[in-house]
Amino acid sequence: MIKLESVTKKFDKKVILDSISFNINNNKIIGLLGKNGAGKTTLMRLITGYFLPDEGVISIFNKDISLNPIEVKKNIGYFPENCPLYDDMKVDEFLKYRARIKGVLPRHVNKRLRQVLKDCDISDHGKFLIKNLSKGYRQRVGLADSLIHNPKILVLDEPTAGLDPKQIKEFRTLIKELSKNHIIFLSSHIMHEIEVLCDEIIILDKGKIISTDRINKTYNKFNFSKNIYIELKIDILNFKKIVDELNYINVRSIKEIDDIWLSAELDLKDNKTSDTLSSDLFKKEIKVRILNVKKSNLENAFIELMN
Amino acid sequence: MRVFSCLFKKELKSFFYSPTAFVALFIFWLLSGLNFYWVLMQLSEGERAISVIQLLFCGPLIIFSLPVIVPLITMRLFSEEMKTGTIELLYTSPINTYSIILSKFLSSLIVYLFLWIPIIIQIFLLDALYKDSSINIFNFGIIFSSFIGIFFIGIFYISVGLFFSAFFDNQVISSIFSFGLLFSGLLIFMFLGINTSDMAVRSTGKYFSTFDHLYNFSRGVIDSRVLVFYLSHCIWFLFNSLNVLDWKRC
Repeated sequence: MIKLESVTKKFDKKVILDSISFNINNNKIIGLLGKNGAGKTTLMRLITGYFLPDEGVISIFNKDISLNPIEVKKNIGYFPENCPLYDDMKVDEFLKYRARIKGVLPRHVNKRLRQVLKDCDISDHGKFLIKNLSKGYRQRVGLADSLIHNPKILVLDEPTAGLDPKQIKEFRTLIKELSKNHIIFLSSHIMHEIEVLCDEIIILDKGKIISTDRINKTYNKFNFSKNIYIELKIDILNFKKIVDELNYINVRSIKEIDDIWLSAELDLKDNKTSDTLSSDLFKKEIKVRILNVKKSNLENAFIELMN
Repeated sequence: MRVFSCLFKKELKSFFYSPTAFVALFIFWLLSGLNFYWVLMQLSEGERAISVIQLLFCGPLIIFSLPVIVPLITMRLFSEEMKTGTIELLYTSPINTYSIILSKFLSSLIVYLFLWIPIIIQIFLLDALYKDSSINIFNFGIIFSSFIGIFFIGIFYISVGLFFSAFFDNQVISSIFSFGLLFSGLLIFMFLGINTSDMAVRSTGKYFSTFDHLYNFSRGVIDSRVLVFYLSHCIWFLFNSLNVLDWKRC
């Protein structure tokens, strides 16, 4: 459905995106991650047709966006960063206007309007002037605008920025619901949001994709250190000897629970798993009563990857 | 076409969301009122009827206010969209950039034509005032050619304003540049046109002088060269507005 082939975008000879390629075939949420200036917004603007690529091809539903921009844009709903809206219009008026210029047939405009007002929970705000809306409601109107023509692809550039925790939760629920019928590109600086919402992540750095995969696979692929909490029957001296023997362990902390048991927090290196650790400890006849794998969270993984 | 008419209606409405259109209309209508008073004074002093329409359309208050009023109308067209970021909504919608430009251009033209409503009323008033006298104010040919003149001058002025609005994100700067180009053009060519020392300079000045063009139109002279001059310049500025927008986008 969305295919990017060696897409390059430059501004004043500076390469912003360098030979980007990926292919997305089914409805899911794809998170875009990267430092500021990594090229996330540029990539989103390329997918929405705001920019045209300097090199390469962007095909959406097998149509080249450079050759058929109008047709392609009919399938895309875009929520730009900072959510620009016409402040002097009323919510209803704005959404009707947007529906019409996005090609919704006049007889379907009111139906679509009712639907998006309901989906975005702003049915009570139709008669409000946009300039009088709170930030949260502005975001909802922006999302309603991106949905008004019932596009198959949604591109959301930091949709939860500036929302309060309750609104963020509601927004995430809505986006999750929408992902059943849409391909959603989501850019956010909130790693937890990407981790909770997205099925796949694309990590950009200096205009290049350094990873595009499911979140779990990304963890494994990049061998982010795995944090483990363990309780075992051994004294500290012997435990240190074992750590030296098994050279894939980093000890974060050790604590004696009583005379027999001690607890430790470990990082496993070299792509070793908790299975490897438990089998190695079993071979050395060391009793283990607790072994918890703390999943490497995306924020740590991202920082590790960027470094 | 449906999409274009929707864009056009929105643009036309948005003129009246902001005070600038009202300010432009108020100033121009006030000036045309003062100009009408001046015309009445001229008539009372025995001015010929043939000059009345000329005085209504080419009075100094009218001709010199246009380079101020038109930039007031056009300054927000693209500058505001770029400043608030709403241009991104337009660029990512399934519409052509030239539809956006044309909708803004046509809506500005409608507002520009609104400017001339008092002049039409003044013509009818003068006609009613001098109905019983030998003076024939209501000469349809002259009125028609005068409106052809203001229409073509209008499309040129608006295209210049639209071009600078596409060029600058700041409304004030865009209006200053439009005013600078239109007003300096008006003055320079007008003075060159009355230069008597050099015939070549004089005829060049007359060829480009908006004042001379409007003066001729309000005498009932429709010169196709002048129409082509304004139309071609209008198309040039609109086309380059498109280029500027594409250049700024990339």
